[in-house]
Amino acid sequence: MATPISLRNIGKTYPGAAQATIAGLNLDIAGGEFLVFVGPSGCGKSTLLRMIAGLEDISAGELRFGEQVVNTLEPAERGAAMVFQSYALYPHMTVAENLGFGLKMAGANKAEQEAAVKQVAETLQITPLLERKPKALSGGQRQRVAIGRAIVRKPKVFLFDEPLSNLDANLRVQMRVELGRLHQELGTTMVYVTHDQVEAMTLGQRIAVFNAGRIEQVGTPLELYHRPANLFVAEFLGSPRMNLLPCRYVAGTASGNGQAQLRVAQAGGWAVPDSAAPAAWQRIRKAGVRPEDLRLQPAGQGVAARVTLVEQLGDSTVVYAHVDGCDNDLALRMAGSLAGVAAGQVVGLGCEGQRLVGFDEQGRALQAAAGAAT
Amino acid sequence: MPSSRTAAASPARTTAVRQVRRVTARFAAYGALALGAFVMLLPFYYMMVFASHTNTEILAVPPPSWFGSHTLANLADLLERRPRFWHSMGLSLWIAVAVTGLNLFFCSLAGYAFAMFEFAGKEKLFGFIMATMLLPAFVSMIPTVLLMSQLGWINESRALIVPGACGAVGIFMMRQYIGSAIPRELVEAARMDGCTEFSIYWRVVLPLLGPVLGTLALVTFIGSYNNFIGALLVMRDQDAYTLPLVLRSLQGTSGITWGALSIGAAITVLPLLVLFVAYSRRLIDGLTAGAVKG
Repeated sequence: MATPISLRNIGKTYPGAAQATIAGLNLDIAGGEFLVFVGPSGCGKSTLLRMIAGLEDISAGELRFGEQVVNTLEPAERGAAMVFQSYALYPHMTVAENLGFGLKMAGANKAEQEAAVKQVAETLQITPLLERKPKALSGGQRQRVAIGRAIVRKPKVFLFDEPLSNLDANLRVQMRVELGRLHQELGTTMVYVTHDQVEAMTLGQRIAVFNAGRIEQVGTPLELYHRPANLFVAEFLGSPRMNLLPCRYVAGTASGNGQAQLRVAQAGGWAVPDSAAPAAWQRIRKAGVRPEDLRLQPAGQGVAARVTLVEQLGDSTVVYAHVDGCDNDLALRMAGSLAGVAAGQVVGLGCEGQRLVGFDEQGRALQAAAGAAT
Repeated sequence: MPSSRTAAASPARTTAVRQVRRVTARFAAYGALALGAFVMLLPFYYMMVFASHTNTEILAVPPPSWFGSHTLANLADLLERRPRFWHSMGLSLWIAVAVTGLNLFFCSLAGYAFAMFEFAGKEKLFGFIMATMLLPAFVSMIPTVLLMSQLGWINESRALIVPGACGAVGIFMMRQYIGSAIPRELVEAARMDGCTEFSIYWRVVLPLLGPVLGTLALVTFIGSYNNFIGALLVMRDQDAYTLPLVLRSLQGTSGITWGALSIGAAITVLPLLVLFVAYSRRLIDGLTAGAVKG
């Protein structure tokens, strides 16, 4: 049975530091779950991973693997295995020796070591490499050996610290698929740290977004993508990033034509049925819309914009448009190639109301709209 | 206004002048190096030449400049004057090997701790150890002799082995090398694999220290093997003499037997020559290891 992990009020303060790196962090990871920690550099995700591994002391709080409190246990005693960013293979040992090293330290006899190494090598298709030294391996091969070294000990928890960041783009895609397959095969609890949102979105069953030592939001990839809890999560996930338009909600009784509106800066607005907009939208200050949820309309409809750039990517088209009152150009993504749109053209922008995320003055997300905005 | 002929000759003349200067500079550099090598090698050459001549021939003016035929006779003379010569050679080699081995172990262990661990007072402790390099060697001579005497180690090899078992230079070299050449993640991976702290050092870190261990071994062996003052202070019986003391003892008040002394010196130098020829490349590599990011 897979081991769940529980973190209660976890804190980390380095000696001599003015403030805590991590404070009061709570998180539950289900047994067998693949959870991804994602966030910008210096947000504390690797620090937390290292605390789970036992490589960093826990300054406050309680860490449990299942029912067992593991705060003071050594890494090997916790039953955790880690795959490092730089692979950390022992350069003076062969691949077989690297794979079997953990078992050797655990007291396994030679026959047990050889059997386990052989099995893992077959699973990862690295049997022909067993007698080579790490310097004779490619990046992808080294990564497989590093993963194999973790697997061979049959740990309760797998920990990955940006394991794909040293690989080229093609190999990264390949290894991502393999990691996903591995998780399905082994069913072990896995915690994966990355700063790459594509890895986060494709690998994780759930994602925890970190910022300055705090968890901003935990949820499934699509929950975080379509329903970010705040501006930080909204802007961190997605490429191009989520469009943010300064706006205010004007109720139907106050607007000129009797229809409720989301007024976007000085560029017009979107009509919203009163019944569709929740009461919380009175506090809306920014409207967040994903590039694929915006659509082009004839000028005069929706929000007025002027096209600044059209990028034809083959499978899709990204149109950048300037809206008066917005600091950054908005991005629209449409499937396929798009003809008849050029830079300088004035257009209108519309969106699906359900896809629109409202944010208040503090950057917190408001309740979703129920209808269409046109 | 310069003539057209002068204007056309200038660039070619400049090139020729530059070429002459380059060749002259190269000759000067090689000449200086050759002179330096000659000055350094001359004493060794004459030591070998004198080892094959009689006392009379050595003291002649001018002295002999080529090998003679008295090598075996000088060796016989040496062994007659110092029957325990081979024993002294064995003792010198044993002390040098023991000091080298202990230095490699303790310095690498200390260097690993300083490079990989954070602990209270670390920098102060390291500074204190480095400060011992500032002390002249003779400052510690009297305390060392008194201590060896109190321990009853006078005339014993451990009087030279134990005080020389760990040195500040070795610790410094190891810390620098381990800090730059051994990634922390390697140590952490070993920790995740269940290694004890000593096991991490012994199984993972130590096997990767080849270049710096080789350099420290060479430097330590040579220093210990040639140690004269230290041996002079604690080895008082002729039976306990190391080779430097044996050679010194040949320079008696009744005169110096140059032939025996020269053959003794030549034999003394042989192990070092063999080591240097075999490992000079490693010595140079080790001294420059870590200087450039690989």
